[in-house]
Amino acid sequence: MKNNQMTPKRKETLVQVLNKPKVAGYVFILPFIIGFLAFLAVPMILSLGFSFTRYNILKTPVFIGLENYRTMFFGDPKFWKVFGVTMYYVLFSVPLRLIMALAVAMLLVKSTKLSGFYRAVYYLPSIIGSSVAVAILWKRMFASDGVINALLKIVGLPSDIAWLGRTDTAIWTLIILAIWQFGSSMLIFLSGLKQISVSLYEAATVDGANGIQRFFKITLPMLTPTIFFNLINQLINGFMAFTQSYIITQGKPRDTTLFYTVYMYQNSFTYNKLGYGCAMAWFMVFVVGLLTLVLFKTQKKWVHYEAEG
Amino acid sequence: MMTGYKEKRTAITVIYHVFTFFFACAMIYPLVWMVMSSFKDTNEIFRTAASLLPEKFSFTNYTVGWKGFAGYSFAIFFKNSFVIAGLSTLGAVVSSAVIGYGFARIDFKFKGFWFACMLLAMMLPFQVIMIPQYIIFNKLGWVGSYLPIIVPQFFGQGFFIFLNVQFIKGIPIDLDEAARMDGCTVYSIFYRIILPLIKPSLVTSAIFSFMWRWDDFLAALIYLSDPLKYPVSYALKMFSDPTAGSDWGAMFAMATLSLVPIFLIFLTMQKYLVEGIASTGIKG
Amino acid sequence: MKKRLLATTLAALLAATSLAACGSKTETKDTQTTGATSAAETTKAADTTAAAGGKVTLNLSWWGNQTRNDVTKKAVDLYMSQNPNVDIKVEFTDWSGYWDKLSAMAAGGNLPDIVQMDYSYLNQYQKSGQLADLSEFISTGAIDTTKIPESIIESGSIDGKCYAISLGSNAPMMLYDKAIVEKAGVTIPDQMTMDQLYDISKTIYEKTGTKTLYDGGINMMQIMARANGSHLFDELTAGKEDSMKIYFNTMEKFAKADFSISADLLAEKNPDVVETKPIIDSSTWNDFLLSNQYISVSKTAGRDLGITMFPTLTDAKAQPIYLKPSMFFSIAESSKNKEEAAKFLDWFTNSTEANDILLAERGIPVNSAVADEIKPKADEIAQHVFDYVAKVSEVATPIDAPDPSGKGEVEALGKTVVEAVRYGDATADDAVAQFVPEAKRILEEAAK
Repeated sequence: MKNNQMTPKRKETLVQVLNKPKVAGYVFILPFIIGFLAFLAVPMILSLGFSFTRYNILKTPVFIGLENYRTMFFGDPKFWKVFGVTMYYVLFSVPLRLIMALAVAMLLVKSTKLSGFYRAVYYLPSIIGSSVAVAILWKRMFASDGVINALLKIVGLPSDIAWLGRTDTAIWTLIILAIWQFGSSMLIFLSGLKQISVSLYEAATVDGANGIQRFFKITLPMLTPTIFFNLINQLINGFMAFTQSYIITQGKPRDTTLFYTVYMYQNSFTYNKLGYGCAMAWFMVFVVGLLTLVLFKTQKKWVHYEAEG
Repeated sequence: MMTGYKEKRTAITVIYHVFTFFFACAMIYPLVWMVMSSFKDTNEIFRTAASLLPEKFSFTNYTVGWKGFAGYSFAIFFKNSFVIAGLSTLGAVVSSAVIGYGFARIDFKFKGFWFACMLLAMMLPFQVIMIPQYIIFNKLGWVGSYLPIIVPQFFGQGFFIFLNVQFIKGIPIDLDEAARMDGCTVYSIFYRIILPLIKPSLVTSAIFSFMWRWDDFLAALIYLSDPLKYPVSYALKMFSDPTAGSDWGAMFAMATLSLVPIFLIFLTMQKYLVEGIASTGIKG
Repeated sequence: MKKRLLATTLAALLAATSLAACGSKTETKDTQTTGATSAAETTKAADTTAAAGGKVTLNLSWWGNQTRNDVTKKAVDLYMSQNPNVDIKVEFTDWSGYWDKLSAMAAGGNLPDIVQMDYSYLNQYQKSGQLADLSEFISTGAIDTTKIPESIIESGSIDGKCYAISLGSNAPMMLYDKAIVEKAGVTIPDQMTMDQLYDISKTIYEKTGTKTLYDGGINMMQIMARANGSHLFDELTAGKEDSMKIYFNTMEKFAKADFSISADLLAEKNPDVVETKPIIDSSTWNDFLLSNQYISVSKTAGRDLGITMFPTLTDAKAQPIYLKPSMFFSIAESSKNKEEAAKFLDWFTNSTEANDILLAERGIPVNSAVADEIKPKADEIAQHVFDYVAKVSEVATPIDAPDPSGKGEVEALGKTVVEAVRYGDATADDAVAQFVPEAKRILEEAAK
């Protein structure tokens, strides 16, 4: 818009230049490039560099080659343990959370007098985020004398389970927390559903499609860009999950809830091995990056973009 | 025939509401528990987990909590949070919309590279870039101010850029082409056509951005020194000290209060989502 | 494009080198620092600021909860009103965030002038040249130590130089529920052995059905090593198994007893946090803690809890109980106003008016005269702590040297290994065989 105020002679050429796609593209993403180079690129490269050093933050880093990576893969059984725990968490929490979010979004997309209220209520669990309050809240819910056991007692099921203390159940308390906080994905699904043109449904109804058919023939395919976004995003979030494990369970019992990022953080700051922590971080970036790449590659097969016709 | 259909509809509506309502109750039970706990004595929170209602309602937690720390009350912390979250949200929403359009609609060299950079930045945990980033901001002389927290938000946030990209890709390209026929440039297409159409994603971005900046304490922890500048999220952490004892009651009280602004933001914003759905969205 | 990439790499290199410079600078400073020059420097710096008509600004940083933040700020305000030339900027945060922030500040070369320090981090910060040597200020009398026990100064010293002044003393203790003990009809001795604890626990369980907490974490490891006539980290550095055999065998013996708290309930309770300690809701009749936590625990429990000394071993070679300096304060090596900072610390530790405000919140004042004056002002629960610390100081033996680098990781390893024993997944022998060599490796690695 600005260039309209330029002198007439230069305006012509400048506007033309600016309208070329290869230039315009850079004009639009320029803020990102500046921000990335100024605030992210250097720290990222440095952290990659640190992964080849022994660095306790207080002293100068010492180059040790691939030693951190060697320790990680072959000399640290806990590394594989936390990797497994995190994979398990991601494997269950991500799909369950997405299904839940989509189901509730479908439920709430219907406009009734109470929609605003329902939307708010279902979104509420997500706004409490992952503060210390959630930690206490969740621990008390699943305590031996907590409300979950109280409910089980009413139903007549065994009610003396120490959910957070048993090696087989503790991780599920965190997975349930992840599912409970489905609000953000739900909101994105809602706005995605909103984007679907009404005419498509009207046409389908005229053709005699019932609700279920409409869902599978129209809603689901049209929603694939949103599903794709939520999937990638939740995948990254799942691997990056930190606070739940850090403040609720501290990895207990027996490291069955020790998340990858928590162990990475402990190494970096509690054990003062930032070099090792960085190596762990970059390995995670590699794994998540690979999974994301696979998803992007399969995109053409199942994600339907209006823009591509 | 007509009445049968009507009855069926009514039955479905009743079932819908009963189900949605009870499910909603189950969803917010923990939250209600938290709010109730803010009226309980700290001892009571830990001794009786299963009971919902406090033995007697007390506002002590609120008065004790509100006075804050070392003479800095929560009024200050709330004001700071509004400044940080408000400005950050403005920056993140605007810049991410612009950048998102660039990635979604225009073809240029090395687009894939920059998009990958963006995803990479999303995947790298903040904890490992915290120290180098601190050094950079320290050299810039920004440490101790809000600049390291707010300024980067004005250069786009990966999550919101990606969200906008997905939304813009969902808009039929015919619209752009029609506009181009009418003499629109890439810039005016963005402003006139795309921007109004991605309102849901902008609203979503704004809700999330405000909430995340409101909740974030790590940046505040690292970059702020003067208690006069502390935001609520950071102040909340100071009620607990595992080594010397914590005031969980006061923490619950202030945590409950700190939910109010983000909830209000959500309530006002979600109206735009509702309106949209009512006018152009799907029916039953 | 190429230019951009080049610029990025260049910037990265720049940052990396400046980072290295920053680290090496402090190190060289550390080696070349002699008392005289640095003292001269600081006075000069202080003079110039004063001469410029400006105040001397000191940054003071600590971790703590509401009470501590309030009282410390009050004390600081009092100091500033008495010393109008000094402006103290306070900074406070929570415990875990504090150390993240401090390491970022250290990396950026701008540690606050005065930092609250912990025994477990002292070594690491001193070894990397971040902390100023306080000995010179002690010898010049800027920090008066005449009424502070020698052992307290020693506890903040490394290689004969003092780097941290403690504000208060703590002692490890065992807590018990008076009502339950009474109901079971047992008497709690001043200090029991672990064998006695076993027998008492059994009786209490038979009479009342209340279970026992038996693991005191790394504190217990340290105490058992001390009772065994050595020190935990000396043994681990040398790869010796003696005390760890005692520790893990004791843990195994207790873990198998039906009067002990079950492994999963213990994991759920998390005895590391004051409010969730199992004694609070009577899941157990006893608990292990440090004396400065006593007030919070008994307030949260809402009933009268008895104190006894941390258990020792049968046929102990030495009295294992010790006084632990709590809440150290150090001065940053990078501080430009060390002299003024030292003056403040002197006032903080030695003045009655400061401690009148602080009221032993950071532990019993180290200055014995101040402690005596403060005591009557403390409430009844706090009195118990005063009495206990006084009692311990009569029998206490010197504390272990400040924890070596790598302590955090060894502690985490210890928790993991003992958990395996608790859950019955490992025997005591397995545990020793796993823990000792691994701990040795961690300590070697961390010392590099």
